[in-house]
Amino acid sequence: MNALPELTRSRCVLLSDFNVRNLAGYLRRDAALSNWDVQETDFGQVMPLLLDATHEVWQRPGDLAVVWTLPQVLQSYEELLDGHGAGLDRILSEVDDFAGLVAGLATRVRTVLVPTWTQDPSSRGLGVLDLRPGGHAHALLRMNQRLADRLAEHSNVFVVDASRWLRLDKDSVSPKHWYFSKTPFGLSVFSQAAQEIRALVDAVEGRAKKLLILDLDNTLWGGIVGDCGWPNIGLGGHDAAGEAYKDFQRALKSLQRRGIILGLVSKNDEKVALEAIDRHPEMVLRRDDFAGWRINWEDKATNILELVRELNLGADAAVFIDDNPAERGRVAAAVPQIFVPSWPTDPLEYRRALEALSCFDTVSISEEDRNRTRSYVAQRRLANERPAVSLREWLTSLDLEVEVRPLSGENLRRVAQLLNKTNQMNLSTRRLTEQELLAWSTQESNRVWAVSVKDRYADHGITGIVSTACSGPDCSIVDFILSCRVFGRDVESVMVCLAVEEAQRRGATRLSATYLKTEKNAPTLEFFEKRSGLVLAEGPPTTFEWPFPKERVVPPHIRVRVVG
Amino acid sequence: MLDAITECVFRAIDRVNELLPPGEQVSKSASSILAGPAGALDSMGLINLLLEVESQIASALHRQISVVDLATAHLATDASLDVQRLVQLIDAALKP
Repeated sequence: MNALPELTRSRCVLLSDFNVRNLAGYLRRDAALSNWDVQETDFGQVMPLLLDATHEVWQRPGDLAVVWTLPQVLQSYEELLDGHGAGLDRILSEVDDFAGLVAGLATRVRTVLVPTWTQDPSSRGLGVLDLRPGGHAHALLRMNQRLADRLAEHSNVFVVDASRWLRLDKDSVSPKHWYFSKTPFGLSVFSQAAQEIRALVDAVEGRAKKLLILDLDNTLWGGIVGDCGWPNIGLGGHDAAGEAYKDFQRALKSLQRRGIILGLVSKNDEKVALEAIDRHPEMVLRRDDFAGWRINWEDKATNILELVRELNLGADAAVFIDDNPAERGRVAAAVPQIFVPSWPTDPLEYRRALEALSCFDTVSISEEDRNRTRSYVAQRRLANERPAVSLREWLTSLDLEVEVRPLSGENLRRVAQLLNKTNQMNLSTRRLTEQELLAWSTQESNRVWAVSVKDRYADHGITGIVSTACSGPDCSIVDFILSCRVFGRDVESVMVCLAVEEAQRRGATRLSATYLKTEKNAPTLEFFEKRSGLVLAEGPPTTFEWPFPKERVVPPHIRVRVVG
Repeated sequence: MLDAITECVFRAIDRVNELLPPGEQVSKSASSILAGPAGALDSMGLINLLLEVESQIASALHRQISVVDLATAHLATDASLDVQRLVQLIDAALKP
């Protein structure tokens, strides 16, 4: 057994033109960020720090920088507040300069978070004229829009809406805090900001939740379907609760369209529950919107564990929503890795509660994300067919096609996303930003391939990555990543072939793969030990080698197309 | 009234403790020293706490009061301030 690799500490730098000690306090108290060092910089030093790339703050590598300023950081906006009527062009020109500095910072740290500029919600600015040119709110809207547009092309910079943090508490903006301690906001705003930062860190580090497991009765619809029958469940219609349940389903559908998988765990008669899902005219979510389900009278915690296993996910990738606090408590106690949010008792609050969750935040949304449920549904159908034939016959019947392309500008975003969120089939669990990955791949010794998988049921898109680094007679597989959706179809073997071919092309005599154990990547070890064709060479860390001169063999049931 | 004010102060302590390291948290007791040489809080922590107490008093007792002013006046003549004394100062200020 390998020891877990020693954790290196991450570093977050806070830059602000006001006192951010309260934000630092919340971040340091967050157990999920216990591996992070939070460094406050002197307030009012934003511009010097952004301008000076050689400043001592940047001598240690930064993983995250938060650049949180008041709009008065722009001199022209301050003049506008003073009634000087600064022109919008001048204000936007200053925004461009500021965005340029943030973009420069983004080359020095891995991730940058920029809260939008806000004004005191109680300020009326120019009153009814405030959204006309010359108004404070008008200028602020345009400034934030410009800032977001200018920074949108930088994939490691995230402009986030700070006005939401201010709307959640009537005391969000506090003149007393400002005059006593040069912090413009009440504690609630910093608490919200810390949650946003934590969500970003989770997304960047691949901890965003992937699966939402739902109860049925009084969660997706009102009433007990087994008692009242599907035509009488509370859903849609001219009824406040019915409308709210339908709206909640719409929000779930929206979540699913951005790549979150939905599952069901409910104490019900399966046939009765599925009939409601299939036949009720106001159901927004239908059977094929769910990647899997356990609808029976068994313990929900047990059902949840079975479902996440079936979907090749870990419990820590899942969220469970149930109207019943006793069931929530049971699941939270029995499966502590799963996130069980507290849930409102009133269904009219369900949609709002769902939309306030930050656990599903991702740093990008790809076409593969949008098609994820379709892929799982196809897999479920496959699984239903599977027992009838032998594994080989079944694999052949899939009509599998694997397309391999080198890393490029076209697939960079998806490849980086896959690299940063895949946990189970992941040899080294290396996390890199798009820029870092691109820079690494352009070194002459290194190669990165994106692997797309298609079968007769679905186009799963880019679901695999192989990368190699070669030097003289030695080549190593650096990244070996495959989405859990396409495990076990010999796509892994195609990926090994790619690495072997690359080693041969470079005249290498050794191809190795070093497995770095994490809490989640045991399936990778199993593959390399049993089916990869590589043999155990040394350890720790566990290293496998391709037994040259053994030739690579592409599985006969897979058509492989190498492009570029 | 003293009990209600104490509750407000304790709720404020809970809020402020959310951003303090475990070893530096303020305990919820009448004798807990908030300010002074043996005080649990630095100046920013003290400001956070006093403003949070103001907010709690406004919510729970529907009274506007400047707790910072009360504490500042007290600290001008006394080197330290504990929870019990803070509660007494607020109680006196709220009396008609």
